[in-house]
Amino acid sequence: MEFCDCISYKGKENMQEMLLLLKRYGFAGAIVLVKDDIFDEKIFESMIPPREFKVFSGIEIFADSLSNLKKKVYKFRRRGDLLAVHGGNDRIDRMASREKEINLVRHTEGGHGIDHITARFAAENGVAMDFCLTALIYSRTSMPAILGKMRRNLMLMRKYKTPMILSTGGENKFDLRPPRQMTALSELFGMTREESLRSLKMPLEIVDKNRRYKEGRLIRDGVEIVR
Amino acid sequence: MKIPPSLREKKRYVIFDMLSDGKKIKERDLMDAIRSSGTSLIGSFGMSLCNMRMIELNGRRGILRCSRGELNKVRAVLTMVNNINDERVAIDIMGVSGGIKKATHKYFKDKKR
Repeated sequence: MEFCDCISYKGKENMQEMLLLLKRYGFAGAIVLVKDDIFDEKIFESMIPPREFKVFSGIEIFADSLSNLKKKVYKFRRRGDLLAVHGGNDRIDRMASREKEINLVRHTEGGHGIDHITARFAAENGVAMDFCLTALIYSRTSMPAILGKMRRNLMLMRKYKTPMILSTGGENKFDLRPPRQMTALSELFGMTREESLRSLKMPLEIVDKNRRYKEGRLIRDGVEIVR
Repeated sequence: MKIPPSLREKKRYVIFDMLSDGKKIKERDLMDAIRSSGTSLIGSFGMSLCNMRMIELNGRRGILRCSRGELNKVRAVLTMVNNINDERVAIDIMGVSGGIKKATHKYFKDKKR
């Protein structure tokens, strides 16, 4: 089982601890998402991953307006293994789901959640939606609301076959959870076991696809140079 | 009054490991945190079905008893625990056993069988 988690970058020492813990929990790799304003390839060069554990670079775009989002997507589209957008705003979520360059929209449980049009656009453009468990774990007062939004998002994603990702979205070692516990928590908002296992493997599939695009092997969806 | 074993509720023993910053955590505080997060997640009714009881807490590791059918809910509840007495913690479930003797032998190696 090749599971992969998406975590946020908050300092070098913190990151080493997190990677070791993820390895102990049984993950095969991690995508380290760095904020767009501090992103630098040198961060990943200095990182020492544990043995038999893959670390991938990711960029998380924080945008306050649609024009800003477009600019940042254009700037970062060929850098890193994965391009994510911090959602939580209905307009940003909709815009992000229409961009083919974007791989992942995070924190979709923020705002009003996604609607059927966003889910459909995301499915057409291969943009994955993230179920971030830290949002659930650290939300004491609004837990029923977040669970409700996650359940509705899941229902729409199922209907339109939108790719989904299950991640902790942790910023330090206390936010990380083992895959089996993540699966148990995801059952509370209606995910089946098969769906949660697929969602845990999805980040690696996206990274693999991006790499094949970059190397020129994958021309477009369904067209690949084999030899 | 004892009831025959065949009529008793079936149990599972969850062995967990706590990740904390080093302070010693009391059994009572941990149980309070589990109850609080469990009640907010699955409600009092759900918690009553889980029938959780702390069997042992030895430093960071412990054994928690729960009912067999609600194991996944117990996992979710333990996942939600993040704070005990203003100290950040995370609970990692190491394994689940059907018997207390086997659980102790497998995960508490310093203890005799």
